[in-house]
Amino acid sequence: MPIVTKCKECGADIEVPDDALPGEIVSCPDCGIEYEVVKIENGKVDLKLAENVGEDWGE
Amino acid sequence: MNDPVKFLLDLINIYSPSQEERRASEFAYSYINGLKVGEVYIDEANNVVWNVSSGSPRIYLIGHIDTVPGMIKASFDGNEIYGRGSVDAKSALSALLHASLGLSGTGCGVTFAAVTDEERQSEGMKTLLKHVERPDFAVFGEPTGTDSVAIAYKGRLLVKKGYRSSSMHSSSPEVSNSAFDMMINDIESIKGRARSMNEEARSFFDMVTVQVVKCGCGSDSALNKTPSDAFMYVDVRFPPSFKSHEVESALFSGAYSVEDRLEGFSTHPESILARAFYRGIYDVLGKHGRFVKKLGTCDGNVLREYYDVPAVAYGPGDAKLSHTDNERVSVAEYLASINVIKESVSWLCANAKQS
Repeated sequence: MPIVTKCKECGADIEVPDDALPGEIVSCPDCGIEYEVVKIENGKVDLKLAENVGEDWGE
Repeated sequence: MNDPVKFLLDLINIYSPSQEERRASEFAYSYINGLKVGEVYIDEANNVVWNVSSGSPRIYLIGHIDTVPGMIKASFDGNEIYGRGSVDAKSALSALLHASLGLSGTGCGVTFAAVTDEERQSEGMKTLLKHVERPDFAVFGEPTGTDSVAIAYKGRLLVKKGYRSSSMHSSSPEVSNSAFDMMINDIESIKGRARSMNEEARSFFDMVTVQVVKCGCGSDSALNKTPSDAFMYVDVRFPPSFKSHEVESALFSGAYSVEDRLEGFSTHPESILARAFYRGIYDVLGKHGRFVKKLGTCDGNVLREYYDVPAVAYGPGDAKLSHTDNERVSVAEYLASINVIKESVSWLCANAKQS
């Protein structure tokens, strides 16, 4: 059962899987902004703005 | 007998640069055949294809068995395995193979493939895609390090351009451009157009980059004449937000030929495949995984030409050691990566079935 929270940018509903681990990325379906899961506790989720995905040279 | 370390050492010791993979493929075939799980065969491109189990969803685990040229024999000091391909990418290939063995009972359709020619023209991957069914997910064996998973690769255009002018005495004033001058002016224009495409870019991954990888002009027998002919190969890398045809029309004009074309691809961190690896890394290593975007290309780019399905790359080793004379991989990392792949794909199987 996903946990629903509000996008801090545009106020849209964001669904977070209830088994998400800290550090997983979720994005707002309306504005596309990406958040990182900080913690899930008692059916509530804390999000923070996601840091950029890393880059790696090569292959 | 299932022995991941011995298998990897033996595989490294079979020299297998692109187009010379047959012996390595036969070795992998015999090893897999001895495991008595599923069905294995070698196809016309010398790919080794192992149908581990049938079911749904269908998941491909694909590594490449060729290496860059330059034999370096395998050695093992108790902690690290050295040798050509230990990083790129026989350890990742071997990790996928041994993880596959633990996935036969998941109820998913698991296919492992050791493909040829990745370091050249990806002929192995192109042949494989002609005779296997559409996957639902694909995992490619490339060195990302055990705690990182690659979720995006850039696309590539390789373009050849030629220039022709009249030849003059090299003492003459610069009244007209030589073929060399035309080439230099043109590459400056191409790079300028690429820069204007990068105004919004926030990272190297988001940039369109242009590099001349080969060029030539003039003649050794006429060092007092300006060149009448010149040529260059231009390697363009671009993010998945651009299609190759858009990049081509934005950068190139006049006469040219496209020698290679690969679209970029990305898999969202929220996709069930990326989440599976995030969890697998956490469960096995006890730390949070890292998503990375690669500036290069891999066989995943070829897959995405055929099928728009989620794909990631994963494997032990530091990509910066790829193609170097110092290729080496930690055995602890290598063995851990087998468990990460097994855990990740098992979770994917269970959860993709529910969704």
